[in-house]
Amino acid sequence: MFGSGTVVRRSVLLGIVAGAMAAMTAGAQAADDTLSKVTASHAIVMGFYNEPPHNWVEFTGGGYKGMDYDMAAAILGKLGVTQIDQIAVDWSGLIPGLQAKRWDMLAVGMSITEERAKQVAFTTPIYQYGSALIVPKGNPKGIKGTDQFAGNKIGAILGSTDADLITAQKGDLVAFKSHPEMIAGLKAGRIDAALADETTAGYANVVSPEPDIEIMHDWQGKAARPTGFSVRLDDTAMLKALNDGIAEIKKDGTLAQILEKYGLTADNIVQ
Amino acid sequence: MQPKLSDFLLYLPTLLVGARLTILLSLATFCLAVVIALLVALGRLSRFRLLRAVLTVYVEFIRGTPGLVQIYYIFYVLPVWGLTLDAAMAGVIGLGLNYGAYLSEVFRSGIRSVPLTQREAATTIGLSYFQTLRFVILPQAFRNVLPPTVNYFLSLFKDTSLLSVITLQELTFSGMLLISTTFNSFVILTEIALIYFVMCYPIALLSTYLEYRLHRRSRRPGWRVMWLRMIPGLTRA
Repeated sequence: MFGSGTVVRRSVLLGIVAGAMAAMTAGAQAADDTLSKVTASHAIVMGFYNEPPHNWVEFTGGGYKGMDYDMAAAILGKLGVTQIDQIAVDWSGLIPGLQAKRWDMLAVGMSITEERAKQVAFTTPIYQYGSALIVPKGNPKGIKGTDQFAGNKIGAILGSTDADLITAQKGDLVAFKSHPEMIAGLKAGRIDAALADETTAGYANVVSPEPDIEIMHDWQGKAARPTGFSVRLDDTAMLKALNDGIAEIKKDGTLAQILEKYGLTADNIVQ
Repeated sequence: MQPKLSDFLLYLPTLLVGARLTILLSLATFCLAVVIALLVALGRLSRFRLLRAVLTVYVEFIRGTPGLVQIYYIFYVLPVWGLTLDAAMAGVIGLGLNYGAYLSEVFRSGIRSVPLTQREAATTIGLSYFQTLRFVILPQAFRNVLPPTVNYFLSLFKDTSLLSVITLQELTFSGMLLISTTFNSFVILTEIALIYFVMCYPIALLSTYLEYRLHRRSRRPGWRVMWLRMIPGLTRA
């Protein structure tokens, strides 16, 4: 039975194929140079990974927040951008989406690594961060860095690189499940010092300031990873414009202001 | 930490916006999948060897590769080759092609389950190919494929969460974003699961109702019967 009516069926199939092809061609992008596109439209689309204090969206309707968003907004503002659209994506989708031109720039506090630099073009390093050394107010045990780890109880998040560092330096490791628990342990005198991600520690202290602790961003033995914005490898004009903007906000104090707002310091700036 | 009812209410508006997108995506995807599946099923039952071969390759290729990879590919790789579909379009096409392949097998078996004598009878009284399909084969096949088709729809409904990898903020992704800012995973995950269930269960019930109508008992079942059927295992399926 499925033999008759061939002509009709064939034309229906052809119609669907032709329609799909037309839709696809219409959807294809043409313009390539991001800088001229951005300066002409005064708008840009960025991909972001939702993680305070780098980038996040206020779910109660407060819009985009975060230190990296603020930096990007300051620099792009100088290029005449008035509208920044952000698309939330999983961390692993950030670079593929940039390459696929789903968005034109990443400002997500991404560490500059050799592997990533093969896939995207990084700007000059903007700020760097590693771990902060947190001690009780007045630093009673005089812990200034890894040299004083041995013989002292040092807290870290379970399974973190901080925990590995403490063990390697012969410190007495006390592992915690979360940052708030660790700070509570420090205040209760269960540990003498704690190591924690600098951005997490700094921002937690902005949200709920703890007068009884000291957060040291600069300590002996600290390893920090520089971060930068990124664009597509062939987007040289955009990269240069961003680099100029970065140099500018480093010089005029905007960058230091933004870092301090989110709990980091001017020492985190990569000069 | 004791979860509070106020927490549930706090996150609900954001999650419902996501749920709305989940519904829209599932409906659009399902429509596309049904059209694809019907055409593919008919094509694979046709007498054109080349058409059959091409469609078989399509079905086997789709069934043999992960849906997540297919969606990722359409969204992130095709633009490198100059074909950029927006996120919703890429999601609906990707998932539609995927479910179209699975459903086509359901439809094919449904069509084949209609006895040959039915076709012969239709030919005898002079019905054309399309008349036979429209008035004889498909109505009977529909009855047979309804339960597995609803099954696939429910599966698809929840598989729209795969589209979170291509930036679509449907229910699951909305919840994940909330978790990454509030860290209240217990409340939010529970809430997501409940919302999915509340949306899916009526669909299952609707399918039970339709099945009841389409089979032996042609009369509309009374509400008393339907209420009883809501309790699993109480009545025979």
